[in-house]
Amino acid sequence: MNLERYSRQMLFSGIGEKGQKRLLESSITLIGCGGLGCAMANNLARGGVGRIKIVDRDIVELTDLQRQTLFNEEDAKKKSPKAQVAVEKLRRINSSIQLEAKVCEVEPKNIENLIEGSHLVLDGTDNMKTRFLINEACVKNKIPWIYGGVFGSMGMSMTVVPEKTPCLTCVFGEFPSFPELGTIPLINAAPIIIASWQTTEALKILVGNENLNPDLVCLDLWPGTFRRIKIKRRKDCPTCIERKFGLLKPGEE
Amino acid sequence: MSIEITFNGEKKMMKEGKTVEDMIEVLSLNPQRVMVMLNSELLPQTKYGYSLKEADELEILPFFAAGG
Repeated sequence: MNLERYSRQMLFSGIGEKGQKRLLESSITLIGCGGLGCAMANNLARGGVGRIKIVDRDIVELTDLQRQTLFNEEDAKKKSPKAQVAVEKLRRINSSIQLEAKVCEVEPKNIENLIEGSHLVLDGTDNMKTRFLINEACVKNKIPWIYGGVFGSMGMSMTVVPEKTPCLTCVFGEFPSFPELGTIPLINAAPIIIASWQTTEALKILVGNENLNPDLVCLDLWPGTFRRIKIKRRKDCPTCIERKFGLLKPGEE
Repeated sequence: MSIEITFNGEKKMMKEGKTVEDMIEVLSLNPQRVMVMLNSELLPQTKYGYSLKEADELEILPFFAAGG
């Protein structure tokens, strides 16, 4: 195995040659290939994560180009599926890793199949319902996942390690308590910086570093603020304590 | 009487008797679209009438659902 292309990353003490080999043996599923998803896929493919599955139901549109870094005007003109375009672009960036595109909705009936065999799931979705579904599927199958969300010049992330850290329900309450927003304001740096935070956490998990970020992090680029918000597991969390997975399959654990 | 709480990471003096709901209003946020953590634990929407006490740590954040 030629590791030369990863030489700078291997010089970083947190990763090294051993960590790089672990990355190359890792498998992840990335759900949602918008601003967060493009930046995460780019970072992780270049960083040499061995198997990357990208799931997205949408096609590329002109309004995506302001922030979704794997797409161009031709993709928008052709209305190509995002997951497929992303994989084609990434193959030209790193042909030595395995990339797979899944052009589909993420639903209760398919999510467990989509994440099966993954060491980690990354969240690049555009709605809370899918995030709660990811949370249930990952908690149930004991797969770590990393939440990311953006609005305007703001962004937020948290790392969920089932049975160890708070899950999405611990922090946000039970779905559905949030109405979805329509088209939102957004500057392109917000998803890119949050995606970079998520992929750094991803690298740590994949190389076996247990020193993960325990907080909900929240930043606002416009005024230049960064905050860590301490979070705790809920003693009565229906998802990660009582293990009720109502969204995944009503009435079944 | 006034109390001191930590509100979104900063110390804040306020009159006793203010509720979480009052603080959501201060931020001009829609109560349907915020996440409230009181002393590091999620505060459900049904408890937004809670009167803040000395040394409480309160976080009120808009929830971020978009993926960019």
